[in-house]
Amino acid sequence: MPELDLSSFPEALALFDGPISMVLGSSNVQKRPHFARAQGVRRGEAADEIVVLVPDIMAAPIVHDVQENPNLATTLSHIANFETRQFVGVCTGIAPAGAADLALCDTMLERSSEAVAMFFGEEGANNWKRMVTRPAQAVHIQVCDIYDQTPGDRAGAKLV
Amino acid sequence: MSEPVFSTEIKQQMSENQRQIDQLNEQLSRKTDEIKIIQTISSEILNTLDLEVLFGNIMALMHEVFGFDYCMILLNEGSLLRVAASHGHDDQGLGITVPIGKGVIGTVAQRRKIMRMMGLRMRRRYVQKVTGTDTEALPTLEDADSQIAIPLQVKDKLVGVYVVESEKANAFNALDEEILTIVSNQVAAAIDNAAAYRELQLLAEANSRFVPREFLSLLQKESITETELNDQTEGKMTVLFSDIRDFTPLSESMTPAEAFAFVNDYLGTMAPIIREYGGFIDKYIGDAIMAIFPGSPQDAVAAGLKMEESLQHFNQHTATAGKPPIRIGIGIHTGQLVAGIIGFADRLEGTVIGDCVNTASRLEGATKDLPVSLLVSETVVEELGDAAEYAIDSLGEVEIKGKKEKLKVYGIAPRS
Amino acid sequence: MISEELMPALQGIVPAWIVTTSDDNVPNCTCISQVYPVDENHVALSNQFFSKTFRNLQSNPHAVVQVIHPADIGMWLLEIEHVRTESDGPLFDEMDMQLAAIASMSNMEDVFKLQSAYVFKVHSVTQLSEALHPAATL
Repeated sequence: MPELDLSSFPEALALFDGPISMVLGSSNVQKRPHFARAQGVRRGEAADEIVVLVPDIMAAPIVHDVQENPNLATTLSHIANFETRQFVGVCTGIAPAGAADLALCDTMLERSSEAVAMFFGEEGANNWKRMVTRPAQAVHIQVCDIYDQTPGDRAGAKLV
Repeated sequence: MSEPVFSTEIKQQMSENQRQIDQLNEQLSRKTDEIKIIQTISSEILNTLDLEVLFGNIMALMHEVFGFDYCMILLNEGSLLRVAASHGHDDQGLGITVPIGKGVIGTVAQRRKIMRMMGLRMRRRYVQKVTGTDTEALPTLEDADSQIAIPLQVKDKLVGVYVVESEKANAFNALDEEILTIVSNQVAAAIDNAAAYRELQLLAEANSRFVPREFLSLLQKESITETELNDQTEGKMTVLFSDIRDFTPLSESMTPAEAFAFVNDYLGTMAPIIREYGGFIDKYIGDAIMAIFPGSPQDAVAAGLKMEESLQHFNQHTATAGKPPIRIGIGIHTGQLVAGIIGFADRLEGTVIGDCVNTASRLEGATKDLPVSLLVSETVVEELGDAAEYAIDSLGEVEIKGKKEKLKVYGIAPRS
Repeated sequence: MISEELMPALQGIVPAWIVTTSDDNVPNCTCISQVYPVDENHVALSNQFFSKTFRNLQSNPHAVVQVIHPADIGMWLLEIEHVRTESDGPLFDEMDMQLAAIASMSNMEDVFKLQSAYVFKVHSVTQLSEALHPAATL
C-alpha cells in the first residue's frame, strides 16, 4: 500500500497552527463511540503520522477502545473561519506526552482562547483557558483518509 | 437532653429535602412576581389610546420590570415590518423596515411563532462561511448576540413583532420567553386598539373636511356616524355666496391643471376667512363658495369685507406670476333655513335648503350689473347691530327670478 | 435527565461535537452547530450537511455528543441513541424556523432547508468537571 504523505495536504496541515477546536473519536468492539477533546496536534515521524495530544482526564475511553479497535478519527475545526478537516486512521501507539508536547498544548490553548474571545469576549476566553491540558497522552495515528468537513457544499468530501 | 444524632444518610436526605423546599419556594415566589407583573402591565399599558404614549409605557415597563435593556416594536405593514419604537439603542432605528420572512424578526412574523435565538454572531458567521455571502444587517443592536422575537397578534391578525435583544451570547432563558408570551397578547391588543383609534381620528379628521363639524353641531351630532337621512334642523341663518367674475374666459387661457391650482389658491385664501368669522363652508361650486353663518348676519358681512380686502393681496401675488387680476361678487341674505341630510341610501350629503339660499345666490349674481361687489338684502341691513361701522349704500330694487316682489338691495363698504 | 442547568448548552451558542461509528467500526467526528433539546430524555439534530454522520446512524444508532455550557465553558457528554426521524411536526418546525431565520439573512433559506430532524434518546449525561481547572476565586 503506497504511504500517504501529509505534506500533500497543506490546507489540512495549516490547521495544526490553530486556533482550532480538536476532538478525537474512538469506538469499542460493541461499536459504541467515544469522545475526547484534544489539546494539541502535530505531525509524527512518519509521513502519514499525526500525534494527537489528549489530556489524561479525557483519555481513558480512547485508551480502552484502541485495545479492541484501533480505528480513530480526529477532527480539527478552525474557531474563526470554520475550516474543518477530519483525519481517519489507526492507532499506532499511545504514550504519556513529553514536556515539548505539553508545552505545545498550552500554546495551542492560548491561541484558541484568543479566537474564542472574538465570540464570547474576555470572560469566555478566560473560561476557555481553564481547560486542563496536562498530564496528557500522545496518541499516534497512522492517517488513512482525510475529509474536508468545512460546513457547506464540500462538507464530507474525501480528500484521500 | 442531648442533641439528636443523625446518621450521614439522614443528614444527606435532610439537606436534599431542604434543597427541594428552597427550590419550590423560589418557583412560588417567581410565580407570584409574574402575576404582579402582569397586573401592573394590564393596568398601565391598557390605560392609553395614544400610540406614542403606549409605546413609551411598554418600553419603560419591559426595561424597568423585566430588565430588558434593548427592545423594539415593529408594526406590520403588509409585506414588511417597520420599526415604530425602540428602547436602549443609540440610533433608534425608527422607520427601518424588515421584509416579512427575513432574519429572526421577519421569520417570526412569517411563521407567527416566538423565537429565542442565541449565539447570533457565531451563527451568522457560520452561514457566511457556508454560503460565501454576507448576512444582511437588520435593525438590531450592532453586536446583538441574543434575540427573542415574538409575534404580536390579535386573533389571527399580525399587529407587529416585539423584539428584545442583548449583546450577550446567553442573555435569555425559557423564563424570559414565557414572560414575553404571557404579556404579548396584552401588548398586541393595546397596540391594535391605539392604532385603530388613531386611524379613526384620522378618518374623522378627513371626514370633517367633507362635512364640517359646525354642520354636525347644527344637527346636534357629535360625529358623522350618528347622522341619518332626514336628520334636519331649522333656524335663522345667514347665507353668503361668492363667485369669481368672468372666470370662464380667464380659465380658458390656462391648462386644466393650472386652472385647478389657481382655484385652489384662491379658495385657500378665502376659506379661512369664513371660519375666522364664525361661518362654515357648506359647499364649493367650482370657484363659487356657499357659506353659512349660524350667528349674527354681521359675521357674514365682516367676512365678505375681509374677503374683498384679501382679494387685493391675492391679485398682487398672482400678478407676480403674470396673471391678470380677478374680481369677485358676494351676496348675503338672512332668513329661515333647513340644514339636513339629503340624498338616498349610500350617497348622502349634508346641505342647507331654503328660499334664503336662492336669494343670496341671486344677490351675488346681481353684482355683475351694479357698481359694487358686495351686495346684501334689506333684512341683513336691518339686522346689522352697529351699522355705523359700514358705509351702506341703497342701490334700489332688483328683480329676483321666481319672485313676484322686487328686493331692496344695499352695497356695503367699510367706513374709512 | 436533561436538567435546567444543561439547557443553555443546548441553545447553539457554542458549537457541539458528535462522534458516530460506521458499520465497519470506524469513528466519525463532526462539529455541529446545535443540539436541540426536545424533552427531558430526548435531544435532536438537524440533518443538513453531515452526510457521513447520518449514514453511520442508519446502521448504528449510538452516538456521543459533547456540548459546552456558554456561561463557564463547562463540557457535558451525552450518550445518545437515534430513535426516530421527523420531517414534520412541532419539533421539525421549530428547528426549521431557526435555520430559516439565519439563512434568510443571506437569502439562503432554500439551501438551508431542514431535511429532517433526528431525534435521540439520551442514555446518560455526564459533566466533565475535571476537564476544567476551577474558576479563579474572586
